[in-house]
Amino acid sequence: MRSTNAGIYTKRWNILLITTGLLLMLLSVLSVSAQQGGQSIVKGSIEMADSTIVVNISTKYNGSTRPGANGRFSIAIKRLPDTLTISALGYKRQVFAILTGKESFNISMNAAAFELADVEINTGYQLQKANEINGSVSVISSAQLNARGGSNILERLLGQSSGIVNNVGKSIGNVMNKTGLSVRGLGTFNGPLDPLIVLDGFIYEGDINNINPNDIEQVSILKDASAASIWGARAGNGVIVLTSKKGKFNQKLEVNFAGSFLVRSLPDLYLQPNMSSSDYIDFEKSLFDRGYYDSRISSTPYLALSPAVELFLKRRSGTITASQADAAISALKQTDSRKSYLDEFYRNAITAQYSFGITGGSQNASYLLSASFDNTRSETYVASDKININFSNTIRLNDRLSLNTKVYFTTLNSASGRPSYGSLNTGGRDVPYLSFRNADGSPASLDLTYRSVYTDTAGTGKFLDWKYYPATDYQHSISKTSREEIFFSGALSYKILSFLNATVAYQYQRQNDKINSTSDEFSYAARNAVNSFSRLNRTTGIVTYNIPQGGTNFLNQIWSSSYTLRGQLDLDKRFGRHKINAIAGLEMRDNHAQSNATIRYGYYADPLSYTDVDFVNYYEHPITSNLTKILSGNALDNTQYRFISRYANASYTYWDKYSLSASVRSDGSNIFGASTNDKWKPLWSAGLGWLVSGEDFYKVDWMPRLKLKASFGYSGNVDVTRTASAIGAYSVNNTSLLPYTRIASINNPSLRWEQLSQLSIGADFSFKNDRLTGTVSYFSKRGSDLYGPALYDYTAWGGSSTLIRNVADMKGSGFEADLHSINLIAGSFTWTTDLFFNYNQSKTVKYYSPGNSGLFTLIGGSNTITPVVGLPLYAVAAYRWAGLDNSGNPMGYLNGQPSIDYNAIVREANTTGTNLTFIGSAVPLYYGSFINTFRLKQFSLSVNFSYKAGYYARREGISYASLVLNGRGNGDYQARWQKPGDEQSTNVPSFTYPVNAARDGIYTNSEINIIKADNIRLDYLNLNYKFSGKLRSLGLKNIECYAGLQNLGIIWKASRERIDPDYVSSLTPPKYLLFGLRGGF
Amino acid sequence: MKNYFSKLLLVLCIFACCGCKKYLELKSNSKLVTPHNLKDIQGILDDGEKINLRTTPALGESSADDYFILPASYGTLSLFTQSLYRWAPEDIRWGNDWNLAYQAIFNANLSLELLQKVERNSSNAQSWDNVKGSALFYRSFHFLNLVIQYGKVYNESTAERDMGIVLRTASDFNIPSTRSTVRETFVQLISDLEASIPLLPDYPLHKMRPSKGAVHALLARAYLYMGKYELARIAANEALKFNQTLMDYNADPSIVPASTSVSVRKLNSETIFYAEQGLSTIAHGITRARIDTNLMASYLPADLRRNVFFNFISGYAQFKGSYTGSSGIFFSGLATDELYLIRAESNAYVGEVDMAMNDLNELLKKRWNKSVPFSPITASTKAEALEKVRTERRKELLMRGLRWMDLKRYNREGANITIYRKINGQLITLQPNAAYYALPIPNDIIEQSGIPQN
Repeated sequence: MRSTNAGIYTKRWNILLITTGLLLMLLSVLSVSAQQGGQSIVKGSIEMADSTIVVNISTKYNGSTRPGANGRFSIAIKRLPDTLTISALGYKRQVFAILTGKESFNISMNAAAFELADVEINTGYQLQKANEINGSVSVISSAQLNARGGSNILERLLGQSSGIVNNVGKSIGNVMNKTGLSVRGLGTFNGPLDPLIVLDGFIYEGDINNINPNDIEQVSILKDASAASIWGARAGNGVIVLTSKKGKFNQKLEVNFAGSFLVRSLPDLYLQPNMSSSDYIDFEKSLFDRGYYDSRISSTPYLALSPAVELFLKRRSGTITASQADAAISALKQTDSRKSYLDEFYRNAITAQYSFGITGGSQNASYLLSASFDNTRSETYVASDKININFSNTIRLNDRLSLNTKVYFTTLNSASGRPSYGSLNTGGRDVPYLSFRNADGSPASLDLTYRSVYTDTAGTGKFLDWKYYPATDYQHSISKTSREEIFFSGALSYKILSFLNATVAYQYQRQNDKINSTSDEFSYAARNAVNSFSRLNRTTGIVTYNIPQGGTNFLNQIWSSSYTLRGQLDLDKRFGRHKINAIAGLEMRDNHAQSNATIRYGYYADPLSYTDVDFVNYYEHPITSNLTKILSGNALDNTQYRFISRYANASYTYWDKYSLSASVRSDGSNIFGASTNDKWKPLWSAGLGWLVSGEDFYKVDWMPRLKLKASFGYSGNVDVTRTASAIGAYSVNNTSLLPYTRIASINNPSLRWEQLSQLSIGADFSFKNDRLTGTVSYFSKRGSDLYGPALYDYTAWGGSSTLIRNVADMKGSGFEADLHSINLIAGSFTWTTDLFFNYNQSKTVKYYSPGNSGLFTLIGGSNTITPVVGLPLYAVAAYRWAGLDNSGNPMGYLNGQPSIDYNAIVREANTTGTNLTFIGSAVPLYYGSFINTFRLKQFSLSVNFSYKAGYYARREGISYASLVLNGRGNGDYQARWQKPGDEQSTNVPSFTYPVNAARDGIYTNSEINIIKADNIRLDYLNLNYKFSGKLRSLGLKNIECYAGLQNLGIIWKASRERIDPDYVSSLTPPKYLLFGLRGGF
Repeated sequence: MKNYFSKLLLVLCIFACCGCKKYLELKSNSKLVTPHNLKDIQGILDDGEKINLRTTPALGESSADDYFILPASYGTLSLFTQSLYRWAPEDIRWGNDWNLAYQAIFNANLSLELLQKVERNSSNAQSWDNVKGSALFYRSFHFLNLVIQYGKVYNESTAERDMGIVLRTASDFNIPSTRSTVRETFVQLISDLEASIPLLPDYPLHKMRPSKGAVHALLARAYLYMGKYELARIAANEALKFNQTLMDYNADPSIVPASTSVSVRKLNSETIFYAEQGLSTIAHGITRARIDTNLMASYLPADLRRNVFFNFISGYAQFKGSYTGSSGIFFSGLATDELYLIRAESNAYVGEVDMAMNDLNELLKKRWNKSVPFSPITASTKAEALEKVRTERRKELLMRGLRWMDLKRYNREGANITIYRKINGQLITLQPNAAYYALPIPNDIIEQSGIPQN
């Protein structure tokens, strides 16, 4: 049933694609022939160093155009006299008078440090001039996007603008922050933290990895409350607007190409201090001698033991001699898992990206067709291929009507690779001396769950081989993902009056994902499944298979689609000194996702076959004798969210100096349980701008341009569990096989919306000759009625210890600066600097949750938002450290005195908290980047340093409980207290047995393990060469080749620890080398 | 063209005014419901993971004397678990017997409230009644478990004053919690159970749902705890009318004697109502708990339960005989063997010695190795009969969460049982009728609700 649906979807979708394509082709051909004449036309050519930059050519009375590929342009003039303005990002604006309408201009553009005034900022709903916007917006050009390699567009934004930061380590597993990015810090505790992503005017619901960075012309980051008022509740965390490349009018056919390679170094597995194999084995021996393993061996004798413990056991039972045991143990001591992983499973990752595009346009039509191919082999051999095809088209059907269409098609295929570092263990213990090959080079087996002595004998040789061979198993268990996505948008605009425009826009996006995980008959997964449900009749020797022999296949198909239909009126009217610019619109959105997962056993791909199994009855496991059911992965899901939004946004400018803007928006949705009254929420913002330098009294020569601007607005956030009645989710109970209704959260009708407000004040300025230009801004955010867990009397429900209530207020503020300077111009040498600086702090102002608000909650967990009144949202606290006593016991403080009464220390920490110390923020207060670019003739060299400061991280200290119970080693072990006197030279506690988790906790969470995390990294070093005119004779132009070293790592850090303070418990991203070529003809 | 656009705008405006509501009425997630019909409400009660499975109190069993922990294992326990074992619990907070039981009670209360809005008519009468009867049963089942653990032992003379549990009978979390008396608790649960009898079917669709037999069985357990032996006998008798099967441990298909980890299958023929004890982290978990050596010595060599119930590790017995089909999970539902023992004990108490011995031998025969001749147990006096039944009760109903209630009621009758823990060479005792027999209520409940601690 479901698979037929899938078939229909695919078919429908293909038809849609083909039809759209044909239609667009037809339209573009028609429109080319429908040119108009009869006016005077001004022609000219523009020369500039970087032809990839968009140039805007505008007249006062007849709109704007862009130059063709050769730099030539022509523009019709309707009224005389008129003014011709030429502008481009990074170049000085030039203005010419048109008196006769027959002029021709040969314009040479000169680089400016930074000129934002004429950049068109795309807010998604409208294009606005930077000087008409009072909100805070950062614009990132395609040149800036090219500075970094890789196929994720969001990663390329980092360091190229102020106000945006990657929350390293904070977003892992946080569904509220899937992008890991945040714009201008935080505004909520438990609400969504992700910025909203908009592609060509529509909310993008697909996977961001689908978008090819090469297809993006410009990115605008809307940072303040005006963003939220345009985009609604989901925009409370800022909006990232992606604008893709388009064709230009009056442009000859142009072909562009680009290719790049990125080679990544191997990850540094040795950076994290680890317990040596020798220490680890000695430690296991001491545990073994103390009888630690005995109760486990006697009660669950079949569970896997580490290779060393197996040897100790063999020695004890006398099956091997002392010298055999010693030899085997010393061989294990020479083995290092990290080397085994690197040898067997790692390689240098390579990403190759190619793209090819055609653009062109007549006076009334323009088009762009491009195709890109990305191919990545990751360091663990994960292979992925991506193809993007982009076709966009703009047609002026007549004077009043124009049509804009875009089809973006993505296919992505990937296949799983080899095991990554740390993914393999034995009996749940992380052993540092695994080797994946025997001495003779044959694949070694690893006791994953059960001991070999059991897997070998369970079936008396009648079962399938029950061993796991890491070195070869990945060849038999492969998970393949294939994705197809189509994004279509079309907008028809009609000029009702000269100042009034109406647009109807439609966007449709569909993504089909298929995850096909096949473990063939030789894989451990399949053999383990078959054996686990096999039954051996010991008298007849006959094996009954409840899971048939063969592989297993897990197939998960996800279809998601969304559409948006929007009607919008745009007003743009100037009368005298007044200018009004307004939009109003209505939008409906639907976001539909379905999935269907199935599992098949006895699966063979060739010839294709599978066998049905019994998912209902219990079978006895041949090793554990537990009664278990065959795992069924079957699942169905269907969600469909709908939204209706009304919005309006207006700005009024007087004398081109003063401007006032306001916007309002309301959203409704069908989110479950939301009662009708709660479905609408108005948001608003207001802005004010003043071009000070436009005033007559303004006579500051050295700063010819100064604009002040301010905005304020509200946004909100509502929790979906805010329901008046209980919501149940249907599922089926495993034991009774009866359907049930799960009440997952208690109904709480008294929840209110979270209120988020933001005030933003800023100034744009430029110094004489644009030697220094920039923007500085200050913002202050306030969140009130924020959701947070509050303790309650759970006798009422019992399903959770806390309820979500409006418990907190927070405040955040910050300062941002974007500065661009031309430091030196000497002949053909220029040196420019871009500095991005951010200061951002947040704190909890109010938090109502009795018994759950002290410093104690900040211990250890610096990676989650923890509200404590008066302290930052991400913060670290620690136990005060009183050193080791003369037996190597860690000492904390109790009643102000050093103490080893760990339970009492914890109790004091949890009540008065006087033995704790607040350390500081766990996220950087100061951060930014510093880019220096040196140009000499056709060469340019760009160096980017990024910096973060004012924050702390917790290094992982040794926990003996975790070492004993989970086998997790730690580099501290070597430095541990071993004999009296050691307390003078070490802070690492002695090992005691039995272990005491509270004792470990005092050490691992004490102040000595908190490190200052401030650091400076060398982000990239890029060298670029643009070929000069010589190549034009070959028909080639704008040929540019480049090479860069990226992610070069830390060049300075505040702490003396070896570890990377941003990656205390994960691997630092490896360095890479990027090189490539782009150009056109 | 201009006209066309005006029309389109007009259409959009009309849609804006009228269409929104309808457009937003589509259900956003096909799996979600606002429970309102009988199927949904029955579904709330069929949420086994919240009602039957790993939900019933376990601290009582952990505090009882059927097991002990060897010094080496004691050292590996968390400090918290150690403190439970020592009868001096550290700060008990969220993640405990209290919240598990009250979550089930919430489901029952919510179902009863939602049911009031569904009209009972001739076509839905049977399922309507089943919902109501089930909700009353589940709530009473958990109330009884809670009062056994957190209330003082039922004592006719003081039950009026003794603190019971929080009798929540509504789902609204704004209603403050108060502690009822022990008598109020029993009045509530017994009247609810009696009300549920005519509503429930003779036999359930699945043993995770209640039935008439299950109600009588639960009443029998409640009356036995209260010391109302006559009523207990009647209730046990009624319950056995629906199912009197006893598994023959020699041959029953649900018995897997050779297995090292599981011996008795889930949902076997003795099970009347299926439920499991909660928290696996509690002290009597099988990996460290070893069965009391005196108790072990009382199993005769031909007693099949020696092999079905136990593994022997370095000379000590580890329990594996739970009616859950899994070694790590303890049964706490209702089964026929318990009913035979309740009836035997009640008969013995009221002086019907022969009838008591009949039931006892009926049960023991099924536990006896058939290749060895079975010699029936006899008793000449009421006291002897009672003593023998109670010994066998302990041997049969091991680790079902019943020992704590037995200790409480035996001590009420003057049995004067002191229980011991030996920890690091130190002997710790729990005196008969100690205040600790009403186990401590979690501290966060005391802090949040202000109800008095035991």
